[in-house]
Amino acid sequence: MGLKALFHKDQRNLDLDEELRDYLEASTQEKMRSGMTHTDAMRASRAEMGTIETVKEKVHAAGWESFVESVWQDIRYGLRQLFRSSGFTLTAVLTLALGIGANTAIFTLVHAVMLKQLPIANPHELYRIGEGEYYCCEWGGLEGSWGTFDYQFYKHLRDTNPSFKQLAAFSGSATSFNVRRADTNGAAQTISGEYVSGNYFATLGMQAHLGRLLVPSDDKPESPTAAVLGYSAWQNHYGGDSSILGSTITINGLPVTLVGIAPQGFFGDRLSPNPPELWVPLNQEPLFEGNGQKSILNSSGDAWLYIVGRLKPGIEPSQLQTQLSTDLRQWLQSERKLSQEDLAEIPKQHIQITPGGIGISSFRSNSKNGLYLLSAASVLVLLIACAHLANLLLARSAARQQQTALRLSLGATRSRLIRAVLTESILLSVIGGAAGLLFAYAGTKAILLIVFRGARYIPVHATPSLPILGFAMLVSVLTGTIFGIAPAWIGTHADPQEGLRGSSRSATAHSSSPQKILVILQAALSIILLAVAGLVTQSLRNLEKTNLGFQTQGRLFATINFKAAGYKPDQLPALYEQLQQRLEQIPGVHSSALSLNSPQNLCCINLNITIGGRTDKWIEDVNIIYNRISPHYFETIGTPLLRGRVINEHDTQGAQHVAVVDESFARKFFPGEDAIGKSFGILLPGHGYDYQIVGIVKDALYKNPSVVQSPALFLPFTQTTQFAPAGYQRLETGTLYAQVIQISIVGPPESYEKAFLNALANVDPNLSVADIKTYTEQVAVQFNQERLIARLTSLFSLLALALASVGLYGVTAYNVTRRTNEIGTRMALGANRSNIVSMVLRSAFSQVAIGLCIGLPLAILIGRYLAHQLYEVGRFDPLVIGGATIILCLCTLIAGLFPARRAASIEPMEALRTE
Amino acid sequence: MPDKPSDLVQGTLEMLVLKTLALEPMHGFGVALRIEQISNGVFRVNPGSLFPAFSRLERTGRIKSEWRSTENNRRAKYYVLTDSGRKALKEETREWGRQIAAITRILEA
Repeated sequence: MGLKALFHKDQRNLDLDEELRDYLEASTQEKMRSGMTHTDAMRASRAEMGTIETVKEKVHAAGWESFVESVWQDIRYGLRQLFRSSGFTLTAVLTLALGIGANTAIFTLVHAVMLKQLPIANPHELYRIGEGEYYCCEWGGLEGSWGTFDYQFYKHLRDTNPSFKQLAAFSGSATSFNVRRADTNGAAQTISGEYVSGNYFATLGMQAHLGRLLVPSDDKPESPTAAVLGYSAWQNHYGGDSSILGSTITINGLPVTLVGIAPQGFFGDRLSPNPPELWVPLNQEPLFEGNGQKSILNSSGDAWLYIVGRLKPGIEPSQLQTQLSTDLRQWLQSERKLSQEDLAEIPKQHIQITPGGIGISSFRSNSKNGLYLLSAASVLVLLIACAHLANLLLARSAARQQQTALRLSLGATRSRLIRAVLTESILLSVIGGAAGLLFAYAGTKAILLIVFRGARYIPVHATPSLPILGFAMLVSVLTGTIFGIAPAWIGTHADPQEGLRGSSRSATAHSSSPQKILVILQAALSIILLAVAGLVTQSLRNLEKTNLGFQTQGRLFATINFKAAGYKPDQLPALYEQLQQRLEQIPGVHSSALSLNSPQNLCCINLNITIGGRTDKWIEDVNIIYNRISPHYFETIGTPLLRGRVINEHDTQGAQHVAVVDESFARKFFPGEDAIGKSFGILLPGHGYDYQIVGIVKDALYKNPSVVQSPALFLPFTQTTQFAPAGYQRLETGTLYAQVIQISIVGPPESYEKAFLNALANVDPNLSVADIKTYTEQVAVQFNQERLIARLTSLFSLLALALASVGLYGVTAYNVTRRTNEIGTRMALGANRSNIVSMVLRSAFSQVAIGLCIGLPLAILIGRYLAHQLYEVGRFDPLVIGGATIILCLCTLIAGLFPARRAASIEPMEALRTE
Repeated sequence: MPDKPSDLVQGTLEMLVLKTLALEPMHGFGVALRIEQISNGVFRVNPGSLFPAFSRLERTGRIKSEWRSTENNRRAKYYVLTDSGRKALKEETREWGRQIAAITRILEA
């Protein structure tokens, strides 16, 4: 009995055999005792028992081992069948591999970006106080639903709120640091880093890979400097040299002790292609940012910290949420000086508690829609593949009709036969799934290379992890069931008598209607995919064709961190001049310029302005892009000047403070008048006349083209204003540091890279360049995601089209074969070849036409839904829909033409002769 | 004269087998013979039902089988009632009695 019995089948069999023979013998003896002859007794006993085999079978069937054995039998039989028809198996496995592989690849991305938890301890216990992603920083304003906080509020929560086991804070924006080893004389590295509270690592539950991580005693104003380095930075920049532990490194020129290396695979609190690799205690922020008493750490009301924590057991997040919101409102009222309007807004201020385990990610919210689209597209492809395979199986079961009929008439149950066919199809699809994993791995790698192009670190891994494998397995089994069940059902419900009789002369096509339905389904799904691919490609093309308002050809730029190199604001003007002179000496360089932000690259600082002499309320609410530039900026970047003049060397600190604005700025604030000569300032009372407009330039796209652009203002680096509030002053000084140097050259930009770097090193070898690339490449990177989606959906639609065409070809060819007699008869009765061709084509087109009737309305609906996510694509694009239809019809024509011509070349006499 | 044989419900057959084995351990034919004799031929169990019943009973641990040597010095498989089998028999007998009583009441009502 039981598992043992499975393996000792032979022994069991012999035992039972012996037992039954004994029974037979005893029964015979008994009958003889009541007077029968030996022969009669034997016969009677035999008759009573039935055959020994039948009894054995009954005993066997009573147990569950027989079920397992029959399933195993089915599997072995299925495998044999698959090996025998290797052509079919290969095609099927390939189709499945592509379909399942595509889905698995997309799922790997979805899982990593949307579902996976951060590599920290117990991620589901971690909560974030607040929601939303904020780019630094909010000054004194009310956030509504709060996401970042100031240091004072964090300390208040940490010290007074009893609901938290641990509460940590970290800075909202990644800062780039200039790091250098003090002991060796290696080159300076630019490493992206973060300010964190002393208990940050403890809250996340991390252990150091080497040395120790930050602890609360590091996070006091009087503590000695300490920092933790990330594992990959340690490997990449310092070759994993463990002597760096405990040594002094200079960060932005300041000596800091490196106390430990973070664990491998830890990339902080967010999913990003440029994760922080250096962690510094919060209380050391004033040292590095150099703002002393006015640093953001000490400013009340300037929100810059994200807060995460673990709750004590038994605390309900929803209750805590309400309690925190009340706390916040009280805090705001007692600690801040609030205007009348702000006081009215107080009741709306609240804090949401969100799961912290998935990290903070704008990458996630940006990619969400794209990922969903790709998932849907890959599911469609899989469905089409299933329909295709179902058709193949139907054709095969029709060919095996005789065999099935024989089996049924010999006593096999329908369910047993269905189970056998299903086992075969699931086997097929599991093999296909395994092959698909290979495709998925390659595909995911390729996708990641495209998506994270130019990134320093790819936070997503292409190697399949357990959830991915599980997903692939699940999809395989589901697919096998889906495409196997219909043929299995239909095949075994065919009338056995008909099957045994052989092929019949039928004039109707009734038995191929399931195949036709499948082709219709494929056509409908294909048109949907084609339409979606067309729309997405159109959107991409629109994006790429947009007039950016500046020149991308022949422009090279480098990203630099002057602050990290140790420069003070008063040293900057001379430095900038030196750099520009040096760069413009390089043969082939037209002009060079420095700027704070550059279009399609680093952008943007948004703020509001006030215009002297105007009191319209709406002016305060318009977001303006704020940029600082050196002379020659506009000609270097290729934005034409429309009126007035650009910034030049005469705009020094002592001269009139000027600004250049773009045309939307001029149009918005000074409609119908000449903006030149008008004055405005940053939104702060008393600053309405700070800058005089001296020039208007053409609009350029600084933000991603798919986002609404704001008007822009440009101030010179060489003029600075004083601001009383700490936050404003910090911004002002901060913006004096240029982040980008660009040059416009003749000829291929790549050949200037070395000269560029040399010139910079000549002025100051300490300057570390974070990045150097051409503008064409930068712009291309902006559209990465759109390009990826367009390419993938087009690929999917091509795949779908290929499958649908092959399917149609197969069905049409099969029908022609089946109707050979009919065709022969028709031709004998007078139909000519073109009649036959049109007959075959008509049937092919009718199926596709029905598919179009179903698919087109759906495609249009989907198109309308997608339209508002795509760039400049109309809600109904007849070009795309029409184009897709034409492509499908063309494929139908080609797919149907071959069988049609074969049909037309049938010799009537031969056709009538075949049986 | 033995009455015409009628069909036995599956569960009932198992109960009868247990009862038969309660008297003494027996081999397969012995059980069949005993049931036929005691029921006066009403129940004639054929091997096709009996042996699956043995298999089921053995799985649930109500009987166990052992090979013993018979008078002829050959070996035969004997079935023995286990303790759990004895308990099961008692419960099923009681249950059967209840069912009979209920059916009788309905028929006489």
